Formats: sequence, structure tokens, C-alpha cells
Amino acid sequence: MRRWIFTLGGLLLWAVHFVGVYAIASLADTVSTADAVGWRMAALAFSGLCLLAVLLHLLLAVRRLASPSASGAADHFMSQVAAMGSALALLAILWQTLPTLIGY
Amino acid sequence: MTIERAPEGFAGWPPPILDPAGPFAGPVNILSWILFAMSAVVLVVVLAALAVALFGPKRWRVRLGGERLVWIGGLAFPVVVLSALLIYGLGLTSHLTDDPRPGEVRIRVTGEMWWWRVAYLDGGGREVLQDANEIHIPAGQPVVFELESADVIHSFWVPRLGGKKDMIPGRRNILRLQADAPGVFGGQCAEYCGGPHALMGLVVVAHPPAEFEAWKRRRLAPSLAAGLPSRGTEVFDASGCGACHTVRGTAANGLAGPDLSHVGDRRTLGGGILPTNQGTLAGWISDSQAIKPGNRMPAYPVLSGEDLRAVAAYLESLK
Amino acid sequence: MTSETGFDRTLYERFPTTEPRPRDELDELEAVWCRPRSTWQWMTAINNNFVGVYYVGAAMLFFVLAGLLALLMRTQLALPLNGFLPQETYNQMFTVHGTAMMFLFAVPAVEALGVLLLPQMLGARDLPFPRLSAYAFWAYLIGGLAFFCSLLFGLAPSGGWFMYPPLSNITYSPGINADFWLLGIGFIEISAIAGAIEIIVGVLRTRAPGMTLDKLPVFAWAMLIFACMIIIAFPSIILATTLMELERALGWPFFDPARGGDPMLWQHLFWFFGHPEVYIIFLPAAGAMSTIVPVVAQTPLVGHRLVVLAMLATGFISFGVWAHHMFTTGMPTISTSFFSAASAAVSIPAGIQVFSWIATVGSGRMRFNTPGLFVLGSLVIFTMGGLTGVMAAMVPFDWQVHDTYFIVAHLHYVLIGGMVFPLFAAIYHWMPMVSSRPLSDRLGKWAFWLMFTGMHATFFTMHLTGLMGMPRRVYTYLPGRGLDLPNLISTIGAFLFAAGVLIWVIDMIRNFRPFGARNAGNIHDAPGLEWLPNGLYSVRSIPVVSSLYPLWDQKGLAGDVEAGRYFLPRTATGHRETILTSTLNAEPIALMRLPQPSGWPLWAALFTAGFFLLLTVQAYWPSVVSGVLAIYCIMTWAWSLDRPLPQKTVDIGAGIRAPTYVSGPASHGWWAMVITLVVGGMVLAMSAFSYVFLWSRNPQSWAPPPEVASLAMLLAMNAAGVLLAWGACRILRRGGRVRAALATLLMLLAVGLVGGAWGLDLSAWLATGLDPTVNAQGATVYAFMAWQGFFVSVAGLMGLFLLLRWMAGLVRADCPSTVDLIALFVAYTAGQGAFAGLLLRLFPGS
Repeated sequence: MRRWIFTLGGLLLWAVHFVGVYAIASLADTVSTADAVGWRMAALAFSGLCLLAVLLHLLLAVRRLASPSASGAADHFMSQVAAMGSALALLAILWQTLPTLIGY
Repeated sequence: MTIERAPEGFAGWPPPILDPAGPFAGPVNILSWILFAMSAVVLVVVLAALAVALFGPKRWRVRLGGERLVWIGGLAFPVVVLSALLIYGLGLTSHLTDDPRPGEVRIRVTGEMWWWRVAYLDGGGREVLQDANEIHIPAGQPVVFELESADVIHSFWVPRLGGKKDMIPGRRNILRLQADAPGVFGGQCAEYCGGPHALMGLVVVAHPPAEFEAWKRRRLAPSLAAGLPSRGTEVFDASGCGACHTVRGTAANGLAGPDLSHVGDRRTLGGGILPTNQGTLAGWISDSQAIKPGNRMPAYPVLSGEDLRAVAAYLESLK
Repeated sequence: MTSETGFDRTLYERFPTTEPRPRDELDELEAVWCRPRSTWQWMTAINNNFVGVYYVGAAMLFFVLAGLLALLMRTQLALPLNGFLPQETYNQMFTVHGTAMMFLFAVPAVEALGVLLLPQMLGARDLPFPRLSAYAFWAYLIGGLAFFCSLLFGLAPSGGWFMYPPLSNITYSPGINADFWLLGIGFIEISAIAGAIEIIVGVLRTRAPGMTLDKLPVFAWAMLIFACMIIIAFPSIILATTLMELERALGWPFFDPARGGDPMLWQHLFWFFGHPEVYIIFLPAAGAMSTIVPVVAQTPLVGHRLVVLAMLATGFISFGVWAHHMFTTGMPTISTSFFSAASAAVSIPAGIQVFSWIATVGSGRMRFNTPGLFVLGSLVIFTMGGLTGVMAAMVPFDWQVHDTYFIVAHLHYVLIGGMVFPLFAAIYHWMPMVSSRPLSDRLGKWAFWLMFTGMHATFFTMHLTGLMGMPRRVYTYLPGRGLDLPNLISTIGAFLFAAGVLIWVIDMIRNFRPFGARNAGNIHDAPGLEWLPNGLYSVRSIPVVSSLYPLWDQKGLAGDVEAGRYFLPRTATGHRETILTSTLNAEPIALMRLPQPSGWPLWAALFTAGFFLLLTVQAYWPSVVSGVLAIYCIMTWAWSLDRPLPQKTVDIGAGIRAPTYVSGPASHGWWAMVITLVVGGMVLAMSAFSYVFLWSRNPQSWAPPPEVASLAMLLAMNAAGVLLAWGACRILRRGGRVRAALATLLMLLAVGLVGGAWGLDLSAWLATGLDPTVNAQGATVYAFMAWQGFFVSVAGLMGLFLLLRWMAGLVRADCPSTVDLIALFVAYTAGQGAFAGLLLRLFPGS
């Protein structure tokens, strides 16, 4: 299970981020308006946090790829998928952050 | 009777989405062309790459056939294109959904199976004028539409003026549209609403602002022909038309069907599908089910030809 | 590389073995995996070689039938105000066309492809739960045919395949037509989930030894992700259909705004399933593409790891795009923008795959045979569909084209390019493996060109029709709007496409000869294990895999496998069996015994179908009888499971000994139960979403919950239930007759406690006077109660089952799996009860 979570880490973080920003906007919409400033700042902070977490995961994955102890083709493969998944998640989270920034 | 031609405002060419008539449709038109151009370029790149991969000389294919192509073509290229598009698209979305400002003309449109109830609101949000299936607006200024539904989900769409918005029971959606110049613009229900959804159209008529005010003043009073004794009025009353329809200035005050106070003045009949004249009115009354199957108005085959003509003439006189 | 299970991987070096194999081994193997002999045996066959073919066949039948509906609809639309089809008939037809294509063709077709191909591809003898496959197939076939036939009686639904309320509620759809959709589809979803469980466990646990994840065929990756997505996405539609049926039958107002419901809730639930659904269909097809392209180009897939990543990413991101079907509903701008961004992001993985295919073609030499043509056609069509998808992801553009023929064009490009063409490529590609004769390449090319041309004529034109303002789901259109010509062209194109399909049907009739003693063989020189010489028992011996393309890289593999020089060259126990391996590195763990054919899955499917269908036609008592019979059949089916063999360990080849029974996380049954409970958990999560969503619409109408004292009791009872269930497992393992009795007793007590907690919760809510028909709070609260009640009932049935097994002396320390699985279920039920108790009382608080 731990191996799977590491391999899918970036994408899992993307999912957490998506649910988070959607929930924040929906909550804001119930309380005041979906794009009220305070709520947007909260969403932005959350996005920042998620971006940091993905970066960290990316770093870990890359280090694991580079480390000589990474043994065997299967391990290498999983670490590669982890690193690339994290990079893709980074991009997707960045895009997902744009709505909180643009148009205000 | 069959429908031979679509009424005014419904010409299919040029495609209405690409023929904008106001500031809420114009930017979307530009966006559309950018998207078409982007798609054409990407498709050409993909096809060219594929052609080289299939038929190219060995040397070219070797250059193409590595993982580098996947990184560049499948990742870098789309990321750049999509990032640009996304930033542009999000900005545009936000710009097109600005909140209404005080003083803008407000019109409530309620989707009904399968027609549109229209009400013009005053500054306090009260309904001052009821109408159906035809909406008059002043040109050159944004108009705020409050979209509601009386039964199922409909979607209000006047393509030359802007995008569509759904009418959802229990909710009120706001849509702002503007026509830059006077004209007639066809509209259509876009969300499947059962039965004759296909035949649920409407017309938006934009006037110069002064003319709009004059039109509204004229409309606030009952039609001069309303209730004048005639064979047509008699048939109208005797057939029970007033149970469903309102003709202001008379006893007819039904609310189930479209308001007929000025039906003779409307351009279309049956929900934007027929031009209004005595012939179409008579045809509609005698057997609307043949024209728009499933609509809520029963056929009146019992009316004689003479009675039909009389009541059609009466309705046509309600201007 | 460290071992995952403690298995010594140097043992792999013993293969291929050299000593000669005993002569009668093969005969024994053939006898155990023998062909059906009577009609009844053909119907009760459970081997994937049979069920897989039936399954694909049924899916293609629905493809043709739903395609015929499309032709009728296109005929109606050929001319403006055409009178070919009456309005109501047309509305029913487009509803059934969409529903059948999605639920009866697309998902089952790719699932069927998995059932047919995966065991051979993974070097397994069969899927881990062959009877479940048979059950899933029969349930789907019966449910699907009944649903489709409703059209013949004018009883088909006419609310569109998305069934939006209020149009689909009892006021606007008063007949039983909509119920056919709800129950028929709900039923087919159960079948899809059963198949998904099968596929996940199959891919993770029955791979050939040595097939580590980097050597897992890309199609198996695709099927794995596909199945996981079904597990996550389908519960949403199961919940939605259940709520809708509760509203229709009992008047619980989930979607009725007059009583605090909201039609938007349906849209969220439906599209949370509905959009991933598109990728659920696409992924296996893309996996097939990534398998076929290297064969037609005769070179390994370029960027294999990127493609695997792309599929994984699709699996995730496709869950963040559901609301792009709802851009026009008046959601807050910022929310629509999140979905717009995710919709852009989900196209990146698609781009990766397209370019990987191109690069593969470039680095090899393309063969223009029929699979090759379909692959190329798919690539072009899918790219075009993807591009219009990017357009529609731009919110302002979507406001214009949403619900117009532009979207009709887009979705057909995506689905035909992304699924139908790959499927035809797959049919032509894998036919030599299934049939003793391959399909005709000449006819195949005709079929391709007709379909390709017809497809563009029909659907490219529709982009324009949409831009010209023609909305979707219209049974006719007015003359004089310029729509006449494009519609006529679309109609002609549809008939061209149909001609292509007809040629394929003819080809099938002429050349499709399945179930033979020998297949046509590896005529494409393909590298996958499925092309090893095989019989009904799959491969003669299960090879050790050391490459992603074993038949290309492992020289002499086919001969050695055929000669029985690898794992399990015989039937080790005289039963059907395969090797249970570990999830990451596919190290052999145990011998998995597979069941013999049986009629019970068929009967169970029949009576389950009977239950749902009789319910639909409101024959309540016969429906109950059918339901009870279904339960009886399922219990009888389960009765024969979990029986240890006299031999505790056997030689699985080259003197390597493996146990014949494992329990806990090592066993495949444990995995299946956990996945089933994930389905339950997803339904729970979506229910919680629905509850909060409906609250947010009408917070002022929320009545205070029962007093908190009842909560403490509820939590305590559920916790005690979990503890007792856990204790039962522990005690049973320590052995002895008394302990077996004690374990049974503890488990029954656990079931009683969890059931009691539910009863307590229910009575507490009843005491508040909350009524399910009055407002949305009542409806959702009692929906939670009903859902928990369902789980409690199933737990009760399991308790009864356990008691019967104890009486028969089957609750023993050497076969603890039944007790383990019941404990898992009871523990989940307790957790669910506790969660519901907490949520409903503490949110939003009193």
C-alpha cells in the first residue's frame, strides 16, 4: 500500500487540492459569495500548501530515482511514474489555481 | 397546415454563433475563431507527424521515433497552448459574468412546457407587464434576464446575443445580454424538456431605446380591440379560451397559457415557430396538436370554419 | 530488488525445466478444463474462453441494435418536419440509443474484452472469480434485453440518457418507462461492478510469476485503472438512481425544489459518474491501441512509462471534470473555472498517448492491415474529438455550443475515435486468438473505409449544424434555417457507417469460428502472452516472465510453455487452478483453486433480474419471491466455497511447493470483499455529499437532530460490534471445536449489536417526528437509514449463513476465510452506522 501511495502521491495530492478548492468555493457560496475576497485568499493559501507538498513529493521521487540504492527495474519504473505523476500534478494544480487569481 | 418557413430572426446562415450582435456574443465569436485556428494547427501538426511516421524517409522517421517526440508533441506543445488558452478563457469568463448594475432593464423569463412566459420588471422587481414568447429590449444597453422555470429544466438561448443559461425549478439564474443595434433575433430552448422541445423557440426584438419606451407604454394599456363586441369575442368566450389565456381589459384572465393581450402584435405563434396571421391563428386553434404535437392546448375541431375565422380575426386585431 | 513475500527469486532459474513431462498430464488438464457438452453446460460455462466470447458478442449485439436506432433517427432528421417517426417514439429512441450505447455497449464491451483477454495476457488459467463473471454476464444480458425490449412496447423512457429531474419525476414521466431506466440501469451497474472486482483482483493477483509492474502489459494497466474507476464512479449513479426511485415510488423529495430538494443534486451525482464514464470507456480502448500499435509497427511502444502515467493521470483527473456538463446551470464562475482547468488538464494525458502512438509508428514500419487501418483511423478521429473537447472546456465557448449538435459531433468523435475504432481494431487483431479462422483482411478494409468516411460525413457536418443553432435531442427542425442540407449529409453518412458495420457482420458470419480445439495462432507476430499456444486451460504451463514483450524477447518461450517446462504444467490437485501471485512483483504465493462450472450463478442472475424487472412492472409479491430465490441461489453458490483441500501444499512446478489455501490479505477473496466495501464507502461518501448539498440549499428548514445521548449508545454498540467480529477471527484461528462455536457466537452477537445500533438510530429519528416525504432533510436522513438497513440485512443474512455453516461443521480453523470476510463486512457496516450517526447529528448541529 505504501508503495502505491508513493507512486500515486502527486496525483493523490491533485485530488486533495481539487476537492479542497471546490469545497472552499462551495462553502463560500453558501455563506456569502463564491468569490468573496477572504475565501479566495483561503483557497490561495490552500493551493500554495498543496503546491509545496507536490514539490516535496517530486523532490523525493527524483532523489529516489537518482539514489544508487534504487534496485531493480520494477522499483525504478515505479519511481519514474511517481516523479512524472508529480510533475503532471504540479502543472494541473497550477492551472487549478488560476481561477482564484484571474478576473478580479 | 404545415410550417413552411421559419419566422424572421431564424436564418441559419451565417451561423448565428459566428454572427454576433452584441458584446456578450462578440468576444465568444473571437474565442471561437481562435479555437478553430488552434485546432486546425494542432490537427495539421498531428497529421504531418503521422504522415512522416508512416511514409517519411528512414532518416526522418528515426528522428521522429523516439520518446523525445512524446515529450515535445504530447507534453510541451499542449502545455504551452493550453496554458495560454486557459488564461484567456478564464479572464473572458469572468468578464462576461459581471454582476448586473442598478438601472438596467430587467425581464423575467419563465420556461414553461413548451413556451416562454415573459414579464417586464420595474426597479423594485415587480412585474409590470406580461407577455409570452417574444421579448422586446432596448438596443445598445445590457438587459438583465431573470430565468426561472415553472415545470422542468429549460435553457434560454439567443445565440446572436450570447451564450445560453438554464432555467431550473427552484432557482433563479441571471443572464445579461445586449443587442448593439435594433433587430430581430431568434432564440431556442436548448435543454431537452420532453415532448415538443424541438419546437420551443422565441424571438427577441431590439428597438432603439426611445422606441422601446414607447412600445412599453403602448403595451401597458389593454389592446384597443380587447372586448369589443364581435363574433370572434363571442366564440372566444363561449369556447372557454379565457380559462387558460388572459386578454387584459376583458374577463379572460387564465394564467395557464400564454398571455394574449397583444397576440396580434407578436411576430410568431406557437412558441416561435409560425408567423402570426389570421391563417396561422385559425390553423393553430383548430388543431395545434397537428402542428406542435404534445403541446398543452387542446385541438378545437368542433369550431366551424366561420367561427375559426372570426376568432382568428379577433386575436389578430389584438395589437 | 528485495522480495515482496519472502519468495526466493533464484528459484525462477529452475525454469524452463528439462526433465520430460509425464504423458497423461495434458489429458488430465484437458479433462478438468473440458468443453461443455450439452446446451445446459454451454449456458453454465464459466471459463473466460466462453463467458468472454458471450460477453463481447452480447455487447456487439447491443451496438448493432442501438446503431439501428440511430439510423431510424437519422432518417427522421433527413428532412425538416419529417413525419417518419412520431415525436414520442423519437424521444424514446434517442434515450434508448444513448443509454444502450453507454451502458449496454461501451462499458460491457471493454469489460468483456478484459474478461476475454486478461487471463491469457497475464498467463493465468482463468479470472479469479469465474462464477462471478458468469453472473455478471447473465445479469447484464437479461437486464439489457429487458431494457431494450421496453422500446417495442412503447414503455421505453423518453427523458434522455441523463434522465434529468424534474422531467423524469412522477409528475412529468408518470408511466413505468422511467422506472425501466432506473431499475434496468441500476441492475446493469451491479454487473459492471462485479466485473470490475474480478478485473482488479485478476490483474493484481493472478499474474504470471516475474511479471513485475514494469512488465505488466499496457492493456492490463488500462483494465486495472478502468476497473478502479468503475469502483469509484459507479456508486454515484447507483445512489442517484436509488434516490430517484425513492422519489418516484415513495415521494421522498430529493430533487423536488418545492419540498427542499434540488434538481441540481441529480446533475452532480449523475455527472460525477457520467464524465469519468467516458474515460472508463476510453482507457481500455486506449490500452488496446497501445498494445496493437507496437504489433502493427513491429516495435516496442515508445514511452511505455509515459503512457502508463498518462492512463493513471486520466484516471485521477477525469474525476475533476464532471461539472463541465453544467457550465450553463448558473454555478458560480469560480467553480466553473475549476472544472474548465481540469478539463484542459485531462487532455494532456490524451496528447501523450497520441504522440506515443505516432512515435511508435515512426520507429517501426507500419503494416497497413485492417487492425492497422482502424488504429490510424482512431488516432485521427480521436485527435479531432479531443480538439473540440478542448474548445468545449473553454467556458464561454461552451455557453454557446452546449446542448447543440456541436456537442453531438464532439462526443461521437471522442467515443467513436476513442472507443469504437479501437474496439474494431481489437476485434480484427485478437480474432486469430479466439477463432480458428482470422477475419478477412479484404472485407475488413472495406468495413474500415466505409466507417471512416461515414463517420466524418455524419459527424463533421454536425459541428456546423450546431454552430447554426440546432439544439440536441430534437425530433425535428424547421425549414428555412439552412439546416436541411447538413442534416441530409449527416443522414447519408450514417448509412455509409452502417454499411461498414454490415460488412463486418458478414465477415463475422463467414469467418468467426470460436471455441475450437486450436485457434488461428500468432499470425501477427505479436509479443504478448495471449499469443502463446493455448487451449481451454489457457497456457499449458505458466511461464516466468522477464520482459514486457515476452514473445519477442524470451526466445523459445512458446515451445517451452507448450512442452510444460514452466509453472503448473498439470493440474496439481485435480481441480481447476491457477497461481496466486503478489501485487507488485508477481511472486507466487499459493495455488488458487478455481471453481467448476455451476448453474447457480445463472439462476442467481435470473432471479436478481426477475427481482428488478418485476419491481419495475409493479408486481411486488412475485418480485419479493424472485428476490428471495436470488438470495437462496447466491447462498448455495457461496456454500461450496472456502473448502480447504486435503493436500496442504503442492508442487507447482520444478519442486516449488505452495500452499493450497491462504486467508487474510494474501487471499483473493479478502481483496474482493475490501473492494466491495469501497463501493459501499463511495455510496456513503456521495450520500454525505448529497446531505450537505441539500442542507446548503435550505439551511433554515433543517430540524434539530435527536438528543446526543442516543449517539453515545450508537457509537458504543457499533464499536463493540467491531471488537466482537475481530475477536471471532482471532479465536477461530486458535483451533478447536469449542472455539469454533465461540467464534460463531461472537460473530452473531456482533451482527446483533450492529443491527441493534441501527434500530436504535432509526427509532431515535422516528421519535423526532421527521417525515421522509415532507422535506429534503427527512428524505436524506431516512435514505441513510435505508442504506444502513440494507447493510444490516445483508450482515444478518451472512450471520445466518455462518450459523448454517457452523451446524454443517464448516467453521474451522483451517478455513477461516468465511469468518474473516463476514467480519470485514460487519466492521464496515458498524463504521458506516457510526459515520451516519455522527454526520446526521453533528452537522449542521442543533
